[in-house]
Parts: sequence; C-alpha cells; structure tokens
Amino acid sequence: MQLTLEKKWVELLENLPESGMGYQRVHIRLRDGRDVENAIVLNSEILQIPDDVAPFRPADIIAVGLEDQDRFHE
Amino acid sequence: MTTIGIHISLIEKLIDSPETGMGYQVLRVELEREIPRYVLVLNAEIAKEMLTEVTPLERVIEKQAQERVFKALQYTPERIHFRILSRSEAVSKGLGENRAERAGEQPACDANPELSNADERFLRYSAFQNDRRMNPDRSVKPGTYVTTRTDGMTHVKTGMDAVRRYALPNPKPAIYRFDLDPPTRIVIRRGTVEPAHGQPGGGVEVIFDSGAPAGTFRPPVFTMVPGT
Repeated sequence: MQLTLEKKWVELLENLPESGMGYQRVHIRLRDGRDVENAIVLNSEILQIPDDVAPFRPADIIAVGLEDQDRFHE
Repeated sequence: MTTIGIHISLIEKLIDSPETGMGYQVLRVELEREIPRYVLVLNAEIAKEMLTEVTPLERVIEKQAQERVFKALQYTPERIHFRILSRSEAVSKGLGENRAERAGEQPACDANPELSNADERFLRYSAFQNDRRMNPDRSVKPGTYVTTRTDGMTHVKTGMDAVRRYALPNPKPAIYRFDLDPPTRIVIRRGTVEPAHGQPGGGVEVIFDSGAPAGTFRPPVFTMVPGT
C-alpha cells in the first residue's frame, strides 16, 4: 500500500536525516494503537507500507519516527 | 575511532608520494625516542587509525601513543619522520590492505565524518523532480544522501542504473539528476551502498551530515532516460 502523508509529517521528515538516497525508513503509530515498522517514505511524502499491514488512512497516523531512532515524533 | 586532518605541509609531501593501495597510504611513523608505528591515511589528508595490533594490556599505552602521533601529524609535522609502505610491504606486515579496503566498503552511516575535498562535486538521483532535500536557496538539508560525481558519471546512464547502484526502494527509475557543487568544504561521511530492496548496490554513498550551503545545487535538474 502506498499513500501520501499529511503536510505536518512531510515537514517533519524533510528535516530528519535520510536512510538512503531519497528515502527514510520509518515506524509509525496509528490511532487504533498499532505500530507499523519497516515502512519507507519516499521524498519525505510517499509512505510505502509492508503488504501484511491492514490498510489505514493518512489521518490515522498519530506519530512517526525514524527506524534507527528509538523515538516517535507526534 | 579518532580521525584527524593532517598538517598541510605533510599533505603536500603525501600527495607527491606513491599510494599503498587505491586511495590510501600506510605510513611508518617515527617520533623521537619512540618505536615506529603504522598509520592509515586516506586521500593523503585524513589519518584514520593506528594499524598496530595490541593486546588489551597494551591498549592504554597505544592509545596514548596514537594521541602523540596524531598530534604531531596535525600540528608539528617537523617532529615526524615517516616513510610510506609499498602494498607488498603492508600486506607482509599484516597491515593496511584488508583494513584499508574494509574502511572503504562499509556503509556511509558507519563511517567517520571527514571534510569533503576542495572543489569536490556530488550527484543525487531521484524519481522526483521536486526533491524535498533541496532548499529554495539551493542549499541541501542535513542528513541527505548523495554520491560522488565520479561514481555517478561513470556508472549511471539511466534511471534504472541509479536504482540498482544505490539500492533505491522506489522501483520507478530515478531519472532526475541533481548536480551538487558545495562552495566550501563540508562535513561528509563516505561509504559503499549495501545490497537492499532487491537491488545490488555497490555505488559510492555520501552523507551530507550537516547539509550543504546555499548555492550547492546547480540547476537545471538533468533528466535521464528511464532505462530497463
């Protein structure tokens, strides 16, 4: 699944380091309590979700963190 | 691991001396009244590490010796007597070869920070023409990954070449090329792209740890063919 992040997350990710050229590995926390790991964000805006994750909407994201950092940004 | 920039007068001597291997020299360094020690030097300007194998008991002594040697390399080159080992000499002593090559093979995130070379140029490939790491003043955001101009121009002719060489997760061809020419030397980390996302990697990757100043990005964005 692929979706476009809301502006606040785009602005956050633009100012966080990349994991490789043009992408960031992230974990995200959803409103229903789920944490999604190993997601990839392209160009700070396009979120790619692993296939085994049940679908959700951009508005369901309540926190985002870089995979190699141990914290979420809300 | 300590990394230091070498005194300019020594850099000039090293540039005029042969390399031990591609991009590195192993120096046999002697300070007055001390035993010789071996130092790995990258690009004739960065002293990276002492190569002497030590036991745990010797570690403290060797750490102090490293401080003395590195300080001399940095500030008092006149105290230094050195010669550069040939490749066969370095290999026969168990120095340099493998460790130097390993230093160049690790991913950039595991490398030590260094300064870019004067007038060094870089490239960045993206599937997005509106690359968000580029700021309006043509500076580049901290933590951005790029490659060296040499690596890109030598190996990347199409967008799919970039996807493979830099192991990009986006399967769309990275057809947009951004030319980056920092007006000053900047802090970077260099490494080699590891295989990932089903791609082989193997390209040179560079992290702009503190970003790059205004005017670094030189438009226009070059558009390559997608390739296969």
